[in-house]
Amino acid sequence: MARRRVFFRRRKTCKFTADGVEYIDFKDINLLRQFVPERAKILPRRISGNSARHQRMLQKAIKRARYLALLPYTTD
Amino acid sequence: MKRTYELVLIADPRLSDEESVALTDEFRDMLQADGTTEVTREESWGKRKMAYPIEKFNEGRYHVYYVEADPKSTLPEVEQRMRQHDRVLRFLTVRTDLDLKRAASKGKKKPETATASA
Repeated sequence: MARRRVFFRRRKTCKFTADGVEYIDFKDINLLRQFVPERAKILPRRISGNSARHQRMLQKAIKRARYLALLPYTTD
Repeated sequence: MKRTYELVLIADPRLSDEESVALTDEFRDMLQADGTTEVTREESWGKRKMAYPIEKFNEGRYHVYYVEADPKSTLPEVEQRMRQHDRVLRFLTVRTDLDLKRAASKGKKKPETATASA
């Protein structure tokens, strides 16, 4: 039963670094939506592979969008 | 040195198109009243469904002002008026010049390397 499990770990890359993004607009809801899954929580960097700097920018943008009811705080 | 801001306003969804234009015009004039502040661009998104209800409304009328202003501008005063205005459900002012300037200076390098490799 000692079957070795093989993990394939895909190298995660930061989408924003790849595209040379320097500012994330809080009004760009379609972009932000990609980083807020069902529960409306912000997708962690661990999953998305975003660079720390871009994650901070994204976080700020999402929080601003939430305040303006463009994105939900929670889903029930 | 001029600063730039983005001011998003969510107005009462019960307003008619004409009324909401009148409202947003009123705030624009208020911003530009003393020449320290200029609205360079505006966007009206019309009536939009909100992600959660605000003041029991499920929709809101969204309007965006792109503002260029002196450090001492009419913004605080206009914000105060918005806060008191019962047709304004919510607003948010974001200062953008610092972020955009940083983005512009960094962004320059990227396209150059991109064209060089292409």
